[in-house]
Formats: sequence, C-alpha cells, structure tokens
Amino acid sequence: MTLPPLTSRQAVLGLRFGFALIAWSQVGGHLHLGMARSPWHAALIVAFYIMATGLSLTWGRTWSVGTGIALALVYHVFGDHDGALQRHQVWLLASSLVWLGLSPVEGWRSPTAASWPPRRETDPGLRLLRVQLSVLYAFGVLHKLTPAFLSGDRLEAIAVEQWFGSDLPSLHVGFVAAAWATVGIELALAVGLWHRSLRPFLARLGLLLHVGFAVLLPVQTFSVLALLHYVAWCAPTTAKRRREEQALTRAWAG
Amino acid sequence: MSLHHATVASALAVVAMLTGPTWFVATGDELRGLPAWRMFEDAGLGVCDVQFADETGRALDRYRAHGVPHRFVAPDALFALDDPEAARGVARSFCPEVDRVDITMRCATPEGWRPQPVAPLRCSRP
Repeated sequence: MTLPPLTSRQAVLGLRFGFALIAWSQVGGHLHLGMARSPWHAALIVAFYIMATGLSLTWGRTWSVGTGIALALVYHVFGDHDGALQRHQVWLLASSLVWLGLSPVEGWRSPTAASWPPRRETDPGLRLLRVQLSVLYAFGVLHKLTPAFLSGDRLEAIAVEQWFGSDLPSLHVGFVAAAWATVGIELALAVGLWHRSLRPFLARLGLLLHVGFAVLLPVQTFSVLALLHYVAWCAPTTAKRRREEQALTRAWAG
Repeated sequence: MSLHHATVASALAVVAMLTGPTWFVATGDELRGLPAWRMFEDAGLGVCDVQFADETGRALDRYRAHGVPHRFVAPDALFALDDPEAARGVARSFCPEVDRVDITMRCATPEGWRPQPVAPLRCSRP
C-alpha cells in the first residue's frame, strides 16, 4: 500500500469536506445563539454557521478562509465559556482551513478546463498543510524530550488514568520503549515525509500511529485531523507534476 | 491570487505556525492566541499508582479482597485511588488476614512520578 495518488482537485475537495464535517460535529455541537452575550457574539456565531454551510456546499476559497477565521475567533471568544472550543484541534482546524483557502480553485467545474491546473508554480494550500504537519510533529517531539516522558513516567500515568486505574502492572520496560518509539516515529514523520522514497513507509507508520492514538486514548478529533493532513501528500504541488496530472486527466476524459 | 500574494501569504502562514511553539520553547509561556502544540500534556496528571503488600513483602490483590472478578468491573472508589485516605480505606479490606499492610503510593506530576508517603496500616489498631 502506498499513498493513493490524487489530483490536486480531489485532494483539496476531500480536505474541504473532511474539515467541514469536523467543524460541524466538533464545534457546531458546542456553539449556539444562547451563548451570545452581545450582538458581536451573535454575529460571530451566525457567521460561523453561514461560512461552514458555504464550505460544505460550494467551492470558493472565501468559505474556507471565512470558516477558518470564524473558528479562530470562536476559539478566543467562547473558549473560556466551553473548554471544548479552546482545544488544540479547534485552532488546528481553523488554521488548516485558512491554509487550504490558499489552494487554487479556478476551473473546478470542468475536468478538462484549460485553466486547470492553474499557471501558478505550486499549490500553497497543500504545501502549507504539509508544513503544518511537520511542525506539529517536530514540536511534539521537542516537548517530549523531558526526563518525565523518556523515562516512561508520563505514559505510565496516562495508562493509569485511561486503562489500569491505580494498580499499574509491572510493564515499566514496555512504557520506556513506547515513549522512545513515539519520539522516534514522530521525529521520523516530521522530517522523513519530505523524502519521496521514505514517504510510503512513513505514511503507513503515521496512519498506524494516529489510529493507535484514536483507539487507545481519547484523542479522536485530533487524530482524524492529523490523518487528513496526509491527504495533502497524495497530490502534486509542483508545476511539472501538475502538468503531468493535466495530461493524464485529458487522456482519461477523452 | 497572484504568485506574489501566494508567496507572501505562505510566508506569513509559516511564521504564524512557528511563533506559538517557538515562543513557548524560548520563554516557557504559552501564547493564548497561538498554541504551542503541547497536545495531551495534562493527561494523567494527579492520578496515583498504589500497591499493597503484607509484612513479608507479598503483593496483596485489592480486587480479590473485595470480591471483584476484574479491575474493569471494579467500583470507582476501588479502581482509582487518588489520596492516602482512600488507599488506607482499601487496605483495611486485607484485615484481619494480615497483620500489617504496607502501602506504596506514587502520584503523577509534570516531572514524573512523585512518591506519596503513606503510613503502614496495622490491622490490630482501630
């Protein structure tokens, strides 16, 4: 299994709808007009829902960037009211939507439109999502380089909280190995995904890591957000690759 | 969006991505507006691991003493022990089969496990 090859259009569309679903389910469930304490609050809530609707139903970059900005404001304005709105994943979703808004959307309606792919050299939206994934992993590693984490103590405490209760089995070596493996895998993902030959293997490793997080820990929304970032690695972003993609699309269409 | 605008926007985006975590690494403080990506940092903090043993050092099974077949069906008060009094309360269930119950307790902090001293329980005393 390798990463499935996608056209830029497929990747951007998939990401838009993936992000839209997360916005509706994770933020929508916590945001309603009853929370408004001023006309500005009410306007922000209404704006979020209008933007999220547009994001779900139409192509334009306005809806993506608009939803992202609305989410960032929701994070700040309502985060103190409802902790669910001030979690990392809300900010990550907001920034991802803004970055995705930088992807070109010209010529979406026709599979062989002459304006597709656009003349621009790169797809900045997908590139920024790739960079963002690396930044997440890199700083995730940096924050884990502490004696508490590398000694396995932090993972043991999480295991006590999530699994074993106050009776931790004697698995200390396993927790130390898991701590070092987590740091090693995240470091490899931060750097190695940029290397074409390592990407298929590391993408599989990344998928396993996030599915593992989702199954073992209460980190579902963040996991699926991180997994969506891998879609940005499935489509070409350079001019040469995009011309190849255009030729393939035309041959396929006719 | 022109190439120039896209380049400027991308540069600003990368600066925005890096500012929060870099600020945290440099100062130890997290900017409210720009997260440092310290995901799951607070997970498990405050929980405690408690082990019981008799005077010979033999481990004592709290679930068997309470007639609970498995930890996952144990009541919360037995499953999660977060303070010395709760631990001593559970230790009483081993009396009078043993004379003394040694309690080894440690609680999770951001710096790792911190030992929590708990006096042994002497079953002969009320």
